[in-house]
Amino acid sequence: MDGGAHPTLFGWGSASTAGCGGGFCVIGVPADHGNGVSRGAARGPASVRRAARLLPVPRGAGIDAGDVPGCRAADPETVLSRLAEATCKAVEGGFRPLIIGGDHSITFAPVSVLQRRRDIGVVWFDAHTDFSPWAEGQGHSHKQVLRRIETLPGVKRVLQIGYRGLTAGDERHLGDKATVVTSEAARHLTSAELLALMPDDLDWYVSIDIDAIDPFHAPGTSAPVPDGMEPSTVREFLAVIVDGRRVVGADVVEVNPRLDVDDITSAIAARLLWTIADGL
Amino acid sequence: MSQCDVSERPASESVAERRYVVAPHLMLEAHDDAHAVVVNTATGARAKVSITAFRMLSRFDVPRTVSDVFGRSDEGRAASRVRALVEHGLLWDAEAKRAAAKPRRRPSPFRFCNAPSYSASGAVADVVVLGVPYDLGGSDNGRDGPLAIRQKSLDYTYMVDFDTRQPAGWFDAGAGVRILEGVRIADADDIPWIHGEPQHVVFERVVETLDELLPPHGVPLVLAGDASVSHAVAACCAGRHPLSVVHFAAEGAAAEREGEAVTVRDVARAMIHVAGVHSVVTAGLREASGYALPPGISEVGATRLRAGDPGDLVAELPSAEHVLLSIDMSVVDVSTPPSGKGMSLREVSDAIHTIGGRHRIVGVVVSGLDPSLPMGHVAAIGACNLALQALHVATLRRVA
Repeated sequence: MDGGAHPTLFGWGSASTAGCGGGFCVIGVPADHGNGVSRGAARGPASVRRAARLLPVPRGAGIDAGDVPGCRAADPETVLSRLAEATCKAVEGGFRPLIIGGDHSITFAPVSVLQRRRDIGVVWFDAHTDFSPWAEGQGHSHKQVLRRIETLPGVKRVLQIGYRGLTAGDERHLGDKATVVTSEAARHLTSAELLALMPDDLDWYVSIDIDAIDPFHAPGTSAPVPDGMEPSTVREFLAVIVDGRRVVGADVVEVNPRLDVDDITSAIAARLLWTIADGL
Repeated sequence: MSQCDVSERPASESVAERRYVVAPHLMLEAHDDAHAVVVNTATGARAKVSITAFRMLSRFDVPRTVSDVFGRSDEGRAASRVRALVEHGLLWDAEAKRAAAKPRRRPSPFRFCNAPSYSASGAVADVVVLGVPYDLGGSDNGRDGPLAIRQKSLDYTYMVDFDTRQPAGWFDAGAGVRILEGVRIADADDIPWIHGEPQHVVFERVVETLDELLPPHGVPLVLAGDASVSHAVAACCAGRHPLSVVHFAAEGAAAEREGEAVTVRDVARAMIHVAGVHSVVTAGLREASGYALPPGISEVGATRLRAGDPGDLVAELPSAEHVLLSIDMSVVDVSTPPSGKGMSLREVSDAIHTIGGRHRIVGVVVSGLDPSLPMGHVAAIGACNLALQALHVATLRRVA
């Protein structure tokens, strides 16, 4: 793994210094191959780690395995396969993957690994449903990644939170496995209602596209949509989820430092990761 | 694109005797061994001609007779080809008195929401989009705003239902409703302006162009460099119906008109003098201007709008049925995190819906966007959203 030049997330030890088992294993994915809108998400891992230096050490334990190597010169499928390998290694070592993207297409890799071990649900914080049509042989991107994830046999539930804006069709109904909570509905969603949407017999993977948050709070992202959620709302949801469900992995993606203002988006992303790590 | 056939036609004595010159604004766009594509930059019209015809055309770069160019021996044969070029408007009779067509519109690299070009469907459009990248009414860089809005608007692709052949509109996930369904949008490119031109010349061009382009019940969406352009749009719309203007802006009116040109600070004062404009309400101010306002002009601050409801804004409008919405994007608070001093996008959108619920919106101007500033890309997507919401309200009322 790469990443020696960056500070580790929350000052956790690097993979080479860690023993086996327990807590999170941070994996950075400096790749934006799956984002057709704008370059820049590849700089997310370094920026989020830097922003996290200002935060206290969370209660949960963890290690930082650095970045997936060679992303810059790899094809998209190679990036996914290397991330899947890194996820496998982390899971076999007894860790839960805590991934810093990169664009949202990368989430397919850790979810595909985790759903092979045990049935899981996926919570998808995002302004978009990422449910564009996809056919076998078509290129993989951040626009259809959730549609592909939903078809994985071990993924039993999908909870999409944050859909909003003007879209071609009504995307509130994504199939039998999925529930969509629009950004507007999320403002009124209670903790009990949130957990009721997440069966407790499943393990859960939490994926956070930073564009779920209102762009006037988190402008550093490539496809901002007005009228998003407050950062505090997402933090509260995360605290409820990590407290009430078994979270087997998580990611924060689509932070684009190139479009950011004073690194405020990276700071919000770091705080979201901290909320997950502190709650477990 | 027209295909220009320059095969031989019967020669004419008058053709051979007269002097000809290449039509103004003609530019070579592309060529290969067999053909050339020429474009008239004033009209956007293109023509594909044989390379032989193009070579002939290029020899008339200054006024010449056919015999000057081809000599007496080939004069008859060449004259018929020259006449074909004249008939297609590529070659002009240098002796004939005719005013050169001034460019009225300039192509834009992107169309708003990728809606059809006006030239394809504008005559039956419900909404006509026009860019006016003029920004000398203020000191900020707004000239790139129309382009940035159009580019960002490609996130919201205009689609036509294959079966019904009607525009599909968009689903508004927040409101849970479909908007702009069946509303035909056409993009008419930009108004060109030449540095050094007096402002009134540019604004007259805006008024003339809108008058020419707008179908009887069409709603203009003008993407402007700065808010001074609202003056020209008000003049056009008020020429059709008496109206009021709601001008969303961060700052109120200046003490008095500043000079001969309309500025972003005194556009409210200028618009009240436009024939047919009954009142002008400046909405969303961060601070009251503090100046005595002449009859017909009023101000509603952001704080008052937020504390009360947008109905306070409507109360300032007389019962005039028609309203022009002028949205200077400076009204939106783009500080991160939001400082609450300006209006949020949602507050502006709510106010637009309230106005549209009681008045007929006959035009929309979106101005004052500098995409090079931090948050420029967020402001651009916000401008797209406000424009589409305003058009939704405008066309709902019109259809009803």
